[in-house]
Amino acid sequence: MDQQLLDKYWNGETSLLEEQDILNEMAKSSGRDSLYFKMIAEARKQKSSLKIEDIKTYNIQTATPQPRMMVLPVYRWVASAAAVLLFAIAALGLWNYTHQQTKPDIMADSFDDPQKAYEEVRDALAFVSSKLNKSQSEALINIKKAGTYAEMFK
Amino acid sequence: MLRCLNKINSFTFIQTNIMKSLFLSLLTLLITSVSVSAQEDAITKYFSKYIDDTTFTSVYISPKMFNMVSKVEIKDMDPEVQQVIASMKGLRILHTEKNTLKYYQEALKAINTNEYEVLLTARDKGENVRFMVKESGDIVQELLMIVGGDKDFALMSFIGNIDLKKIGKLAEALNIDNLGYLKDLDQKK
Repeated sequence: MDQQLLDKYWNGETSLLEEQDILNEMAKSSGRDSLYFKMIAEARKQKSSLKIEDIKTYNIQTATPQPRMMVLPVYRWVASAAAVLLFAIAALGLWNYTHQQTKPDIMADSFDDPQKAYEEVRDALAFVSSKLNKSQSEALINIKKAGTYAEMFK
Repeated sequence: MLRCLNKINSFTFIQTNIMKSLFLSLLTLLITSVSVSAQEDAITKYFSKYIDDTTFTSVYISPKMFNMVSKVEIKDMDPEVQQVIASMKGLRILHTEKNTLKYYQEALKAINTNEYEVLLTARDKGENVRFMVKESGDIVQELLMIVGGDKDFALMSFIGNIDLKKIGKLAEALNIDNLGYLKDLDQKK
């Protein structure tokens, strides 16, 4: 094996012809590096069906986003109709619910006669008024009491 | 062909946008209406719970009746009372003599303290009296009185623009203290 030629190969200075010579020679020999060159020779024999164009188109395909899936217009309408239906049902349910709630709140008037109603209101007001005054004066007494206690602990 | 496709695309885009906003607005509408109905005041619920209970004496005077009272000529109308009634819109009273303390506690729990503010609390011979008000701004919109003792439980709600000073002066003006009102209420029924 021409060591000079081999050195030239490792330096990457060989021509294609010289490389072919090395490969041919190494196929026969079984010395150092021969396994490496046999592998290269084997790799050269294998051919890919892929062309540069194929790779280019693949790259373009992956780079450009996929067009959005078209939804059939019929499905679009069905979807919106379903949404509207859902809201209609929800609104109906809500209306029913609130209606049901407000029903017992409409209480019957206790009086039909304004005169009697007036008397009732007057009595109720008088009651509240007196209670209010009583509570108020009591609260005042309590405040005074609290004041005297506060004085005691001064 | 491509242009046509583009048009369709933009059309559907606008459509979905409209749908989205429609959906959102409907959703907010739904939520607000739910929350509004949820805000129904506790006292109304409390009243409607016991209004048909035979152990309770109840009085309800509607805004309509208040309207009539202020329009129709009434015998022996006290001017002080008239002033108060003119700004009132409703009166609700519940009274019972059974399980009084239990109902008292229940009523206190049912009241939303965010809505009602305690005005006064007093205890007199084992009887608790609590005044609460619902205000908007400085105006009292509802005066609530809760009485709870061994003998009586009463809940009184005065709705309208309530002037507490005027109400305080009423007892003096009418020259009656009317502390036996609750007893009379039961006898009338």
